[in-house]
Amino acid sequence: MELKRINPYLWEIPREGNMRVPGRIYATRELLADSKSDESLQQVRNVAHLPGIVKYSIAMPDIHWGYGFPIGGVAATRLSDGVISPGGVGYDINCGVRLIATSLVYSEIQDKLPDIVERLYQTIPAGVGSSGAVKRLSHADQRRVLETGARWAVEQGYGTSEDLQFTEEGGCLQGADPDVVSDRAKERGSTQLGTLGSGNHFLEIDVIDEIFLPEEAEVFGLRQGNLALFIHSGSRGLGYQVCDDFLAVMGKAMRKYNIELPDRQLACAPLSSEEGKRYLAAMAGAANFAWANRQVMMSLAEKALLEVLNTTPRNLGFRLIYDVCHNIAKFERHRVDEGEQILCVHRKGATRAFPPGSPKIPELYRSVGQPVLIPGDMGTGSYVLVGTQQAMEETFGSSCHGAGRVQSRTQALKQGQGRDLFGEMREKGVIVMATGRRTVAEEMPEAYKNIHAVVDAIVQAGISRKVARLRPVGVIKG
Amino acid sequence: MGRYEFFDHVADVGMRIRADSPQDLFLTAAQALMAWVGPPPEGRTLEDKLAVEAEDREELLVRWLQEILCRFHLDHAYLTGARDLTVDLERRRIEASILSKIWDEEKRNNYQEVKAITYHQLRIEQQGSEWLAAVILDI
Repeated sequence: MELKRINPYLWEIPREGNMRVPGRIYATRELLADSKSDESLQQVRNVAHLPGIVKYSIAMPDIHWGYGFPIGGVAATRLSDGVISPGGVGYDINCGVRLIATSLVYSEIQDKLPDIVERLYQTIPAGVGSSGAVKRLSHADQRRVLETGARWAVEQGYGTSEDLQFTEEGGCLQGADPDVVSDRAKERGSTQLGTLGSGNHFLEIDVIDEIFLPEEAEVFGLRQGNLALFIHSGSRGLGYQVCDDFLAVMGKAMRKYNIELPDRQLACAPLSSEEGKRYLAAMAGAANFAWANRQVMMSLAEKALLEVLNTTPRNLGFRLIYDVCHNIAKFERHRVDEGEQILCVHRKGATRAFPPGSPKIPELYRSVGQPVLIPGDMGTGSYVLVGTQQAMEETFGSSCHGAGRVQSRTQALKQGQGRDLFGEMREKGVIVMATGRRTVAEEMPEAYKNIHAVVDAIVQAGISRKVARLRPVGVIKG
Repeated sequence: MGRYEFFDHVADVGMRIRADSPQDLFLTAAQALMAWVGPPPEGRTLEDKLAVEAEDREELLVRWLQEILCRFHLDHAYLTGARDLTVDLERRRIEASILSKIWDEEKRNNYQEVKAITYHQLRIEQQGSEWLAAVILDI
């Protein structure tokens, strides 16, 4: 495949054949080498065939092989003739991450860390079949969760209304319709509210290790040496089922609307079609479920910390910094050649990264820009970035979302054979608790790209700026 | 009874299945899915009827496996076999009585999550007298 170098951090797949736009990949030459060994670049090219796609099929430096879209893929489509593709959102609708700050100084509570990790592990359900703090949602509550997202959780006593200000979309995507979410999807989600899931989902306890932009860090409330928490999870079985249900619908829609695409997993329907509208309404419901899920888990985590540290809310200083989604499609206003337009922006393993002044970000942060949360692998570190105007101009206000895998799970398991992975992580200063050793092996640091390289690439490209680096000290996995 | 093997995919896992008939192909695919999820439980046995339809045979395989996976999650039913299994590739329809063992919530750490059955690089083909299928699981 021909790749044209635009600059050291940006490459282009020239438009050819039935591609409607070129592809653009934000990566260094070294990171790009990882992508050449799988089909992710071909997927960037395939996405460029979507009807109504605008400007470029875009990929972030954490790009890796996904379904239809690559993970790390971004594509915006026009309302007039564009499509919505569930593959551009993913099975785990609104998989996302939230960062919570505390007033705890790590050096002062370090000896309590094992107890903290243990209590969080006992408190936050994780793994297959885990049921949540909310034992089973009633039909009425199901509707409310799908319609109002994190707001429902706050009304039930999980957190406060202030949390909603610091959640993307206020923790609720408008336009959700519970009636287009199948009974099966609702059934799958009915016992899973407040559960972590498994695989690459986690709750991570971090120390804020390094501050790069003191003004931005101050505005966000990040203090060097303090303890923070990341929660990474999504819409659980409800979201997976919504995607399953609508991939079948979209398959039929492709034939109905005479859409041809190089990959079946890119199945889509016109945004203006009945099928497209129904998917968007179901997707919004699943996204709202995910926000409610993270809101409940955050509240459970706060209670766990209060108990294990035997302290008060004021001393704990538990505060949501921000919650971002990285698997979503949203209607946003962006400038394109024809002027400002509302576009449907698909982010599949990519994070919104709006600049200073954007009315869509919390008023408290508006002077500096939107926090962009980038969790790394469990041994290396995570970052808080901030969005830039250049991101708005080049990537529809989007940035990367994590480290991106370089090893398959099988390869990682082979590498992990005979090793004391929990012991290795302890030596790195990270206490890991997981429901299975296999998950830890599959998620070992070597299975992922170097998060520092990924973040440096997106920062050097001007798409985001580094605010802080966090160092993991505890991880809970399903 | 067919054969299966798992193959690498960067973030997930693929299954490759070979069998002498469409019935064996689909049943072996279901058993491969369950084998990936975890070991068979020792709980009570359940028999339940299942019917699946699709637009084409590849989608039929995905829908069949989706049903098996859904029953695993919702009913805690781990497929162990099938009776009266009919796989009609012409009419794109499957009917069967599914035999499952019920797994215990307390043993959930024995199992790993499969989020979805994907359409990615999905194929079913006949090579001579042998049937082949490949499907990737989102884990």
